[in-house]
Amino acid sequence: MARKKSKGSKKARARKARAKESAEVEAAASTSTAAELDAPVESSPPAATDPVDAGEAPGEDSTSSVTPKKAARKKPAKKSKGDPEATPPAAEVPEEARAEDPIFLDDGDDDPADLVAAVTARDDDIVTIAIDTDDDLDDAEARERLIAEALAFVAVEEGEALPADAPGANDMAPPDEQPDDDAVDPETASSDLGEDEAAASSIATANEEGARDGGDSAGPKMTAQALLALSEIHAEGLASLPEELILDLGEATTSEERDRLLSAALAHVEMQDAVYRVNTDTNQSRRIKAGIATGILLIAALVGVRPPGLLVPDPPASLTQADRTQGVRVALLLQAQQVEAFRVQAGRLPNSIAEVETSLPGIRLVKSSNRLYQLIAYTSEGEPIVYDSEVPAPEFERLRRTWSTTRDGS
Amino acid sequence: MKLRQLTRSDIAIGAAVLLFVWAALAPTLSARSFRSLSERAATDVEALRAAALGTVASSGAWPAAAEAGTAPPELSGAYPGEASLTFDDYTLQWVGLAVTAYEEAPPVTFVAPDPDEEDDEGSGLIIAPGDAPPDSVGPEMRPVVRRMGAVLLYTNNDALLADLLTRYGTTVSYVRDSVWTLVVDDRETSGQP
Repeated sequence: MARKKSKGSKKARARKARAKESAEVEAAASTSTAAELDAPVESSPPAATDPVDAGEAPGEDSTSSVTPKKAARKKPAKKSKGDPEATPPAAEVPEEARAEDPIFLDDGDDDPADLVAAVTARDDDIVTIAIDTDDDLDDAEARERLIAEALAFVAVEEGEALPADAPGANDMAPPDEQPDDDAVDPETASSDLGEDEAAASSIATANEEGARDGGDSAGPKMTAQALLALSEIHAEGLASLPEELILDLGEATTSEERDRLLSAALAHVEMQDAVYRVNTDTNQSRRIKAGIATGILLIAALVGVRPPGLLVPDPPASLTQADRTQGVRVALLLQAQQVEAFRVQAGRLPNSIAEVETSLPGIRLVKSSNRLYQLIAYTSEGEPIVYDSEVPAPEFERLRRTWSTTRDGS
Repeated sequence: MKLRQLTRSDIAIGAAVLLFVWAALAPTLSARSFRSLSERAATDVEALRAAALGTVASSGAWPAAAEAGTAPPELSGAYPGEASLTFDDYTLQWVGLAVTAYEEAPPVTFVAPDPDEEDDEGSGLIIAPGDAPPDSVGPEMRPVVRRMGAVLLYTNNDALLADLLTRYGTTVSYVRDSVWTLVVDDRETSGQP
């Protein structure tokens, strides 16, 4: 698989160069407009009509629309604004072709065999294939490479899968010598995306080669193996395909050549199906998004750990060690007031702190005589603070003045 | 972009943006929540304090002390329920305090000695010759017991303790361990925030 893809890629580049030359020549010869290009989508030739056999040049109205399932489901085929060279002159369209309904090869069961069968049934038709997806196709280079590789690989697979007694098999070169027999007509293949010139030229180049050396080659059949291989191409992370691929079989002179074009179209359809089935993220975009997500996460973590001042309101007040130490002293002072009140009422000191009316927790009473006592409490750091009734510490005196002034108004 | 087309990278970016918004708004939301808590605590403390002062004003006696989370019987009308003083983030308690105050004792009567009366008991202090004049003696102070009350708030939220200490000041309130105490005195109004 890898070898084939590599070969296809090299040849695709070669085809691209040749397609540019071809496009220049064809641009001078074609005057079709985008509106003319749209017309084939809405009309189709009769099933039995073969413009080639009838000697008529293929016209835009003699083309049929092959609408892939996904494209038809997502939205109608876009009005082609692609290469006007892809549309044969309208004057050459047979009248019978205008009366026919479009050919829709979508039976809804995802079976490529149905598509092939339908295309084979319409073997003589001039077919315009409009493949439309509404995905973002932002990587023209990858798209171009993918299309070239897909078409080349399909051609190789076709050649390998073709039985020896199949029609045209005798004309087909060995796969190694003829791996690039793409069936897309160089004059009619185009992409609907205006910015997708590279992809269109790649297809045109492939078709040019197919027309030059593969016109008499074996008739292709789109095998399940080829479709699987195309799915794998996309599963390996290659970019998506153009939204719309228009193939005109008008220039195809043999059924084998038209079959080849249709096979390429089916491969394109399969690739588009794969695009819808799998995630459209490419490795590069995934990396970019992962980088963005990581960056935002880092910023969020930074903001969470160390928020900027703009986002942080004024912090609430916090308790200092001085506040806590003063709290212990005030508690001792209040407890001493309870002891003194007890002494005034009872005429003696209490034997324990529990004897007073209100005992604050964490304070211990030590009597040194019938008149003197000490109250002991500890700070949160374990430092003891002692209130001596005989000579209170200066801190208690300051607190006493503040509190007694507040309490008694004296 | 349809929802089903979202990739893991897209989801990661969305989650990162949400995390960033949360990190940016978290400090503001946290501060707002704390302000709300502080306001509620101050309101509850003020309500209990006002109810106690109202009881003193109406009956002349302070409400009796009660267990933490339980309103005193005198305030049961304002705080029905057994755990009416227990709130989500703090618990209130009412306690009574007895403090000593010194008031001026009744003045002592000084009388001049009467040579005709031998028993001068009960008529006052007799000024002996050489004593200081009676008006030179200051008033005698004696201790008396005054009753007050205090509102205690129990919480493990140090920020709330500090906020209450800042709000009421350090002359009538203090913090010890996880308890903030507000002394309530009916003879002064400096305890109001």
